[in-house]
Amino acid sequence: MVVEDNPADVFLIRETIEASGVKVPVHIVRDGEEATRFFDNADRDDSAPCPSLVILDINLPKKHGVQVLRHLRRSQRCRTASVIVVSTSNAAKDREDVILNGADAFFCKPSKYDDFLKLADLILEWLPKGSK
Amino acid sequence: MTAQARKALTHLGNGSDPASREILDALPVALYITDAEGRLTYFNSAAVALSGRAPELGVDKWCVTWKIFLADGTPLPHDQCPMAVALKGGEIVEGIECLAERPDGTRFWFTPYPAVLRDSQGRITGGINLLVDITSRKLEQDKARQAGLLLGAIVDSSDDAIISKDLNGTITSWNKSAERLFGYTAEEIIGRPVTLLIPPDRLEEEPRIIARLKAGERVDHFETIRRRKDGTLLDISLTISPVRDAKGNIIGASKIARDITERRHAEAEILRANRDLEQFAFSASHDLQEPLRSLKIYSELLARRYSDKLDGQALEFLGYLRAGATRMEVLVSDLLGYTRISKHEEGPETADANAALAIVLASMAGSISESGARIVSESLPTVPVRPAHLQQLFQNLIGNAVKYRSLERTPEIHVTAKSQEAEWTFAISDNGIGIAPEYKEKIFGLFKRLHTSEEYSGTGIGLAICQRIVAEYHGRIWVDSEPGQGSTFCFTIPRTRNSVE
Repeated sequence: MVVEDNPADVFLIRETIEASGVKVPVHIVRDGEEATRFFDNADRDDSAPCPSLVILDINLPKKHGVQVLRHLRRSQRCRTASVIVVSTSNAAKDREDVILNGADAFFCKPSKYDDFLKLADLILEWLPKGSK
Repeated sequence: MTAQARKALTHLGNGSDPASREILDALPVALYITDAEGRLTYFNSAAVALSGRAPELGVDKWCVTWKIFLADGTPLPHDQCPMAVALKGGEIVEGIECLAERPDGTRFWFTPYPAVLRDSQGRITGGINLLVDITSRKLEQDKARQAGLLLGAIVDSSDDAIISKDLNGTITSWNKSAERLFGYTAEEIIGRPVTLLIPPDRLEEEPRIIARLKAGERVDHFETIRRRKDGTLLDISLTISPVRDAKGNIIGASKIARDITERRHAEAEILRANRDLEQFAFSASHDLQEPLRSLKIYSELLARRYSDKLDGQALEFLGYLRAGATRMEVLVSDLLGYTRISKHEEGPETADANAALAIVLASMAGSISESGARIVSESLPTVPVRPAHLQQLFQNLIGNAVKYRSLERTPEIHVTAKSQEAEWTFAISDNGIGIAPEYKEKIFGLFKRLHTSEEYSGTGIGLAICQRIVAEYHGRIWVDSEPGQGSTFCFTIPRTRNSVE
């Protein structure tokens, strides 16, 4: 699952997932509220999809990424999902903040295409075994 | 006049003896003799010169002078002058200061020394009077008094509190502004300890100040807090200088206290405005990064994936687009660095300059070896600057020295630090291309560049960052340069900030 409002970054994340070679269904949501609704829905309906890996942007409309992260960790079904936070900021404080709130990894969005593709390594590392 | 001198004078007799007269005439002191009735029988030339007249012998009585006044200006009739009083058998008055007027209207000050002449039976036979001219001394005194009055008026009209104290810390003078500032009147506070003005938690300042004064040192613009009579505190700036007696011994101190409460408020206001502005600049440059990243990546992708579909001019345009985005990225990141300079961070507040330099040189190893530069440094001090800030200073200044090297010679860069009384002066000197004098100030401005990007890359933020760091620590930065020969960038770091130590 990808939580990202910027279509330019959605495209890049899609390319990265493709480059990583994993073949899984990808859900894209465009803001923080849509993301929390997605988790709530999974709790209500056992047949609804529940992500095993969330690639989460921090600077999201409607609900901040950290709020989405907290919501996820309190949900019933999706709480065990791996979370890779992607952000433009590389400040130590922001990094610490998301790790303390339950993120598994932090990726600073680079400004070179090849560097962006390095996100694939994190995806391979954190995608739970068996979901590939 | 001593008894011996008076005796010698009376021996001169009534001035009729030619030998005595010769001596009296030559005396440089005004002198005259009278008979028992006070009629003048003799006067010398000095008396004529002083009184401005030649009296008529046997007619003029009591005095050689034309008009006499007491020191307070009251006219003194001739028959009441000290000589007259003495001749009439009264007290012999000596050493008083009199004012006299000459017939031409000019005045002079003198002190009469009258004596009576007696015969063998002790009867008064006449009198002799010496007039000592004290005009110049009186004028000096008057000048000093006027100067004293003027100084007093200046001290009293000063907006600053001016106080003096002795070496025991006892207040010895107190001007009007001191009354206004501290609330004590001069009567209340003179003779009392200066520690009355010091809040209890700052009492340890006084012995340190006294110790410095005893060593003959001044305390300049020491910013501290003092207490008013009503117990309220005020921010003041103190300048304290030792006061010496005529022999040069230190006998106390003068203090000038300036109320800086308003200035402190204004400073706090400016600080707040600055912080807001910094916050704004930080957010702006931070948020600029996001769209810039997309711009960069997608112009890159366009070039990678569609070059074969674009014609020559489209590719050229794309090249400009990418170069612009790259340049803007560096600018934004440098601007972020500029806004992040702040002393108010956590972590160590002193830095070993040797360590800071080593870290910087290690991080620049690539560009240094590429340029072939030789970097020489002396043993450097530990200074009260955050390590990251000192590293930034070295990074920018050495980076510039390497970048603006001369292609005609091997770059040589010297890093030195000189110890001065109140500060350290660091110097980074190179043998590079140098800077024309007209740009010596300009180069420290934000985004100020002397070269095109084709000649030398850069954003014009490096030296602005240096300027800002140095200013944070109340130091100075400047450049000395000989165009074509090299530049020396110097910056100072005060040893301590606003301290009595």
